[in-house]
Amino acid sequence: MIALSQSRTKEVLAIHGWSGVFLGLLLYAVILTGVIAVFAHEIGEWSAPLPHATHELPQQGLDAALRARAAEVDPAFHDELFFFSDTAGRIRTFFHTHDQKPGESTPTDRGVEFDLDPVTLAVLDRREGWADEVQAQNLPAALADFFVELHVSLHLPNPWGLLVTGILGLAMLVASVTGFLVHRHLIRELFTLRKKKDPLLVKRDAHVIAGTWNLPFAFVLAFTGSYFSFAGAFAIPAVAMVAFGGDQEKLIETVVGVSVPENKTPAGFANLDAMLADARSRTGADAGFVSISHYGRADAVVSLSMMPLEGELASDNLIYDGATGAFVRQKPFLGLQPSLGNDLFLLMTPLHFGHFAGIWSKTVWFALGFAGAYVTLSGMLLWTTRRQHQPGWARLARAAHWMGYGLPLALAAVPLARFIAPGLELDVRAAQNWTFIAAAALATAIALKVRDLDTLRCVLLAGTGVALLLAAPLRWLTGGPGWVTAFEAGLATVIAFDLALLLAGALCLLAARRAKVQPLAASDAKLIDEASPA
Amino acid sequence: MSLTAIAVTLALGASLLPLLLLALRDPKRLRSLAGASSLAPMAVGARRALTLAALLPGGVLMVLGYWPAFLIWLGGLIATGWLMVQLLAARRS
Repeated sequence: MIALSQSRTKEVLAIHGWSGVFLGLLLYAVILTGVIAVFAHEIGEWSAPLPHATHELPQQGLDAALRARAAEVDPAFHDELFFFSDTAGRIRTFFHTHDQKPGESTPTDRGVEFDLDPVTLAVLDRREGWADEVQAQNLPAALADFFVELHVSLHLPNPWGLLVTGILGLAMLVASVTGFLVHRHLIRELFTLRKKKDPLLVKRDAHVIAGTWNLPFAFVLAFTGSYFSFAGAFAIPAVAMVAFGGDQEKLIETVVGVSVPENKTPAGFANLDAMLADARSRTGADAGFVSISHYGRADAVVSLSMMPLEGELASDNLIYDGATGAFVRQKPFLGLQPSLGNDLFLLMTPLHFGHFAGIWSKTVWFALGFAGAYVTLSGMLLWTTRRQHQPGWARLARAAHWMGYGLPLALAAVPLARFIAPGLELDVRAAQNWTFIAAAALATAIALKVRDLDTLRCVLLAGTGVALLLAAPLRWLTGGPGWVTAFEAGLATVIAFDLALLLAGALCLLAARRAKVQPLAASDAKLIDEASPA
Repeated sequence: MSLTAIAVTLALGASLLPLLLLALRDPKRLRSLAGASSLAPMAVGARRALTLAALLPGGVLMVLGYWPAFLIWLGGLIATGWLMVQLLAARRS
């Protein structure tokens, strides 16, 4: 055990608190939206359900779908294309090329995207343009994308959003490590929550207990989150700049190791269904992502990323010659030979997203993320409340309450816009964004108007509860399937999500009522100081 | 039910019992009750044995190479451990 002197403990406590408070408001937003993003697929399926629930690529028919869609698009977009099952359960395929968008320094994807029905492979939607324009027109995934983008980049433009979330991830690492150092003696009190003490001491116990239990996963999630943010925002562009003259495509081709000599000779394309069947027989798994380069050329390459097998975290990646359909090699995701770097790279995704074992792992990751959000919020409230009698700190305490309870209100309002906007012929994504901003503004106005922090918490919690309770009926009233229809179609996610939102709404109202009955006035803040180790 | 689900259920079930015993007879927790419980604090040796027993299922999953099950077990143990502390405190208050 690391022994710290009293003065060193004070310093570490200060680092812990200040890193938490100054970045905590945004960190809390990132964690809370990350908790929601764990269920991105389920959110997509709930908000835009198909008549049949599936999140898999079909075993037959992709070849015919590929040829039919390829014949409809500009041959320039045959350069790159992919198939995968998206967050809303559609098969998404994007025929595109890398082009120079006016006003941008790096090449951007431009092409035609189709949503296909996962069972019939009929075209459900067609979108054309630059990648960001295509994404903006994607209605079924709009709600899930809102939460994911808020988590990944806070809806800030690239690379600034990724840089901010990367820094927040580092702040979470700092808070985790310093929190462990400051409160390490409390590991012996892992089972002790003093309920009969002063309410603020109980709050401090609750913060420390949740933080201590959650420490290993807080560290893992912060580390992997920082990795994803910094890799996209800084590492890949920096390495590309130094070694590949800024060509990120070339960098990725080299690191991944799939580049083949260029041969623009027109050639037929082998049967994709046969390649998928061959990959299944080799690995025992179904393909999760199909990527095709240079469709219709002699140098066409098909890359099949298989789903992980039962009991495995990582999956296989198989390469085929697109022109002949011949199996080329099974390769790691990075490089051509197995390596520790590849293994570590593969671990990052399941460790951060928690989607490696379906609803089981997602539920656990949701609980751990929720604990992380609770630790962040309770830490911010403790740190600011105990200092709220000092100049400036009262405002920060108010800001912590505003973010802590106002953000859930703003997030809960977004699905309402998702369901109302199509009926009013509004742009769904814009309506979601403006509703979020409007709800946040409303929370700000309430936070400025309501002087008592307990009342503020109570009002915002109640608002969140009402918004959550409205989501399921509104989904149904705006044309979504009712529970009987959903049950008959096997759409268990729709029913489960409705019930979860209704339960969450009821719990928020209950918490608001309890908060009103048992106000936690901060007048005894000095008790917290006395209880702190320094 | 998948193999992972079965492995997680068995491992978590096997870990939660020793964890509950550890929690119920934890000396610090009992001291904070100020005599409100009739249970006696557990000796250090017994606590160590129970801690090992709680962690053993995770070790078995690691040795068998069931990594998804191991991660879910670890996360589940943390989440239910936290919940257990809350429930024990709520029951007391």
